[in-house]
Amino acid sequence: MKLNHDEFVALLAKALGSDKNEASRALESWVDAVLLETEKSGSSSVTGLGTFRKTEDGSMILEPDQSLAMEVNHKYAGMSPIEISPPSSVPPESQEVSEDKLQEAVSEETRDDTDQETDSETESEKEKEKEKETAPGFAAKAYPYREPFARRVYEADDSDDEDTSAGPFGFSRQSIKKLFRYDNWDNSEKMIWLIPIAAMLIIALLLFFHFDGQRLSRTHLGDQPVVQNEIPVPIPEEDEGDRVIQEFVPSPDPVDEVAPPPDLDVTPEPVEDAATEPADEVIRDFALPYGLKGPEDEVLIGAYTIVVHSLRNERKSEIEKERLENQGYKATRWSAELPGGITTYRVGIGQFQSVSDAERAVEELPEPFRSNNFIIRIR
Amino acid sequence: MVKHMTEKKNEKEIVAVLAGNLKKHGKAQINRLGTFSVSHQKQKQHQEKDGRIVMKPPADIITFTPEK
Repeated sequence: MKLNHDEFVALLAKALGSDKNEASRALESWVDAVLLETEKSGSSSVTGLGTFRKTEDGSMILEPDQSLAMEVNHKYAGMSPIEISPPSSVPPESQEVSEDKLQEAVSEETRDDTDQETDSETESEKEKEKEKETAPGFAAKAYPYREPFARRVYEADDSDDEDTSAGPFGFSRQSIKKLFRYDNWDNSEKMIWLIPIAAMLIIALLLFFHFDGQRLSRTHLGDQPVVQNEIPVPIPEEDEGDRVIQEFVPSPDPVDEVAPPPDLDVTPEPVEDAATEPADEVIRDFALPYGLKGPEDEVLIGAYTIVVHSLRNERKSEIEKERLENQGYKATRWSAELPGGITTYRVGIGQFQSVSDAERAVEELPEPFRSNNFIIRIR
Repeated sequence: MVKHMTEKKNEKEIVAVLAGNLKKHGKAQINRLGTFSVSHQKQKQHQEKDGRIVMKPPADIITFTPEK
């Protein structure tokens, strides 16, 4: 309801039980008091409404009273943000400091103690590396990346570690340990190992999704009774151009008994035999009840739903839920406890795997649901 | 004292009328003070500093526009 000043005065007069002039005077004096106090002390608190504050640029703002703000926002009160994607993790490679970056980091003046320690350690390691590289007999000096193993052998021989006893093939134990230490590898070596590992992982994922997709596609053929994959399909034989269909012999398997093979010459009719129901149930178990419409067989915890009603009246929320169900929507109703002991009843429609799915479904909704809704996760 | 009590009573009634209108998501204009209304914030995606993407819930908030 939009009230201008005169309408507000009329409403106030009714509330005060007085005439408009008296109500107008009361309102004027209240406005004067608020403005004066705000001007004088910078803020003016009004119980039940909020606090008026004067800003630096001389304008006035209102910080609403918390209970009033919650009552106004009762429809969405108590809702918390939904996490769509997790925090981005820093890959281990990016944590390592390249030489160029290291130089830059060393030249930086503003560093904390931890960084300084790390830098000094890295510098000392670099100095050791340089000493080794300049030493005579360094096999990998000319080919630092093409002959990494020669370099490791050299390093192992030159090391001052105690455990230098000879191992297999004349290598010391320490050299073998160093060979398998990931930290000891340079970037090119890491890449040599990482590329095939990554490729294998990708292939494994592709295979997984390929077969999983095949399984899912089978499960979504619920309305086609041909889906029963255990049924042996008779192989038609070609004999002098005429197609001969083998006569179907039912097998002792109960699934085979309920679903006869489809006659290739006749369009298959929907099987109405009650014995086919178990097979259908098996199919439904695999297909999760996502979507906007259809029966609400199962409430999926963690799925997203579109909330279209948030009501204080329980009976009214039930009526709205029934109305939506009659329209064919998957309707869910639940109660939410708000701060202050207020209970609100929310009615959501549809169940979706992701927020984007829910957003797409919102576009299909009729008004007023399309413009007045919110998506939440079922918990 | 009586005047103070009357002022308090008037303030209570003014706030009651104003708050009642705002609870119905109405709008009220008071001369020399400003306009009180309720605005709706749609739910929106927001990226946090740590990289998380969150969907902020919608909200109905009280807004006050001072009269110039």
